[in-house]
Amino acid sequence: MNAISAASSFVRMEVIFLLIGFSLFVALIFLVIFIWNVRSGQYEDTETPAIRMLFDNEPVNPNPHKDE
Amino acid sequence: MGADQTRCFHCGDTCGASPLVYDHHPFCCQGCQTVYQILQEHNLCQYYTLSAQPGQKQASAVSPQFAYLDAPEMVDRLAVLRDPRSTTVVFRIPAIHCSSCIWLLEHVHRLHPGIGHAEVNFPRREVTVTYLHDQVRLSEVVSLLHKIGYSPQLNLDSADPAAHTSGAVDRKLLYKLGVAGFCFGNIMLLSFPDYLDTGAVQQQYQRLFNILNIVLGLPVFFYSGWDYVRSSWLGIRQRRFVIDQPLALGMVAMLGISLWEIGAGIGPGYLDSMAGLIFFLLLGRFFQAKTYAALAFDRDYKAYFPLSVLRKDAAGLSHPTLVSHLKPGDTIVVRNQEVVPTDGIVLSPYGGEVDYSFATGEQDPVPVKKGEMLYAGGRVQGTAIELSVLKATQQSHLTRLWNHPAFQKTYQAGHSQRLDRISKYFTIGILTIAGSAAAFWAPVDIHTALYAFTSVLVVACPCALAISTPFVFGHITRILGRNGLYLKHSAVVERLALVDTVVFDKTGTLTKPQARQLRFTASEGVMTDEMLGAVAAVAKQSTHPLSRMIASQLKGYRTHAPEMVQEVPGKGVAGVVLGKEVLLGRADFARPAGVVPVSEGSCVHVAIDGAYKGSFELEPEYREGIALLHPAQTRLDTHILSGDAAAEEMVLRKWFGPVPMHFKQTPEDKLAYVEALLRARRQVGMLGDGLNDAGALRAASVGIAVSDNAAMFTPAADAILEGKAMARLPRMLKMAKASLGIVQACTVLSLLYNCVGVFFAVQGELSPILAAVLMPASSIAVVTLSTVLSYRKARQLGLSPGNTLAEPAVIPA
Repeated sequence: MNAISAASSFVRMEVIFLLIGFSLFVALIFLVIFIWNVRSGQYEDTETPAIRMLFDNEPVNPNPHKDE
Repeated sequence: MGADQTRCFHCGDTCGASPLVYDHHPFCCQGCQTVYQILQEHNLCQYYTLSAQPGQKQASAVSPQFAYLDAPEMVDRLAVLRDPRSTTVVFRIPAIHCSSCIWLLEHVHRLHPGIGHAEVNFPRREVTVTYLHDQVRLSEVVSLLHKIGYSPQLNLDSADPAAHTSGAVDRKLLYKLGVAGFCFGNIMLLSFPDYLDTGAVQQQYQRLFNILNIVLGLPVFFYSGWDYVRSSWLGIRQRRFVIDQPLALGMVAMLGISLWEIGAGIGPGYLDSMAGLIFFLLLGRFFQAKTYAALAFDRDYKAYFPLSVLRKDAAGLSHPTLVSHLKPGDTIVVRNQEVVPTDGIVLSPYGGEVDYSFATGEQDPVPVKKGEMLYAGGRVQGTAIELSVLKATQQSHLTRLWNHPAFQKTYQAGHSQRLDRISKYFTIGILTIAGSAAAFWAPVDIHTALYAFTSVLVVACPCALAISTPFVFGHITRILGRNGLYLKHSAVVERLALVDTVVFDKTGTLTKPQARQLRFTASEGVMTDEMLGAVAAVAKQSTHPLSRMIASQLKGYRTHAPEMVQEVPGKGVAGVVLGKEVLLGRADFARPAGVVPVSEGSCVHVAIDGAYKGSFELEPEYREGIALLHPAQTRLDTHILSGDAAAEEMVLRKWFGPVPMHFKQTPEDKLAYVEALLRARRQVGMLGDGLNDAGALRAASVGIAVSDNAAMFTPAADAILEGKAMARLPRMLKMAKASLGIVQACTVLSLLYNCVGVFFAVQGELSPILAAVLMPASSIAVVTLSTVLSYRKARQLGLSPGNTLAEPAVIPA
């Protein structure tokens, strides 16, 4: 009984190695994405893209004065 | 005047009695209508739907020539990227101000097939344009932008390769912050079992966790936190105390004790505290690093002078030439509203008028005659002036000011002097405490002595103290920025807080530079509406700036097209409207001999059908809220320096009372005056607007450049104040002064936390968990306190966001 629980607890705890490794890996991916973002210049201008994204919703031919 | 309410569809200006109507929309002038037509032709009218009246008034009908831009060396200097087919250039366009501007500029490719991609950086007011250089020339791109109302700023500065500076936020700081954040989070996670301390089962994993912590902790120390170590080492070598020293001491102690404990297998160390400390410090630095990308605080004369000027060759033909290529002896033509790029002798037979207000502070345009010397920096008014160049721009009278030692002075950006003073006592203090603790324990147990020594260094690490200043100053910088005072960097707050003496320039600083009013002084008889209409009609036909001012001021009167108009260069304009002969111009032109003028100075005399009617005179218009600058209100020693004659002294006395006022001050005089005040141990705040104040602005403890369009040229300064925010200046100075109190409150709070920590540390009883809790708790408490106190003070002074538009009538004491 005692031996079994000890063994099973060992098996259960073993998974921590995997989890730690996995969580570190995931966090590392986020770090790399962050560095990549900084490098691509996303933080150079944080204002214009916020305004620009509103344009895309406009109709493609918005000019009511001309029909071509 | 109901007609006045009609707003131009393009620029939003009033249209006067008879607006131009095109496509069912009213326009104020031909220029605005042309822009609309161009946009309509190219299916770009969405421009007008994104924001109402988004355009800029087209300043002049004459399109400048940009051909000089096609010189290969010019393209080389302006281009940021070139490949065999396309060229990429970055233009600074101060006119960018709304979402319509972004939309239009990013769709500029519809105007010309040779233009590829265009991208706007709104905070920097810049547009990056890529064009195919076998299909379109650089000059065509620029002239296209000019035609739709977005003239790129082209001056000596933009041709300077050094002008293309890096991004708004320091990328290195972001990388460091990212690494510190990543490691801090994971170290916290891996340290959790230690905090819970749940017995023997975890023992085997704890070892792994601790080793992982070291792996994560090393980059935090050696990459993210290395600046602190290096800066404190620099401080030691220069034998001076900086706040980074106690910080680095704590960091080294934490890393050392952790490596030793984990290596010996006797404990988990303080890596969590160390990573947290560095993360919070960098966060403070990031918070402080707010910059105003669209503003330039370090401009010199190069940004003021034009890039090109018209040069006449031997055959008498004029070609645009780079200003930097001008040689003594060249003949150049400077047209209306253009800046005289270098010192020269006037060749035009009639002379002309030059406005020196920006260069010397002189308010009225100065008439110049043939053969007179003309100095660089003046702006030609009215007729074009021909000049014979005497010196290269770099050696001109005005630019010599930049060689003055005041311009060699540099401040350590972002460094708080007060904090460094504290750090002296702090460093000595904690070393004493740590030493005493070690000395106390040494006879008992050498291990505890060592432990007590290092844990004092660990827990006394002044993280909260070090981040309190950046956070308070960062908040104040933001609050002031929202109110129209933009600081170069947040350390200016500290210098602003200490200001006890303010020196004002007059022209352009206390008065409005452009929007001058004309005052009509009648000589005899009454001017009927009909006469005023006739004056307006004639004035409208003239290009002279004073005539334009008259025309715009008399917009409301009904006008008829003149039958005949003739402009006499350097004299005035004559015209016939409905049979009436109207003369507008200088005294010897419009005023019959023998009639006594109603006023002297720069004015336009009016005669109708041979009868002298009076004159229009420039009236300086003072900024709103000047009354609030009275020394009794601000409790500051106030001085006024003016490049002008003492004509306005009475008016200024009314606003300022018996303060020292000095007139006819040259730029050098102003500089010497500020330096004399500094020698008398005053903390001088200098407010000026023009090149003539540049020396004084640089020399002063805090130089504040006043500008009505902050994206336009301002002389080098520590701060830029929007002209319309002048009324808030006294309150903003109070806000800056309050910052010192707020920093003090935060200092006391952070020291309290340190005391609690030290109390445990000297007994050798500092557990890692106590350190890990105490350090972030103190930092968060300080950040919260600084935020709450800063914004509460802003609310008290009426500087919080909701209040910024409405001016409170009473100034809180």
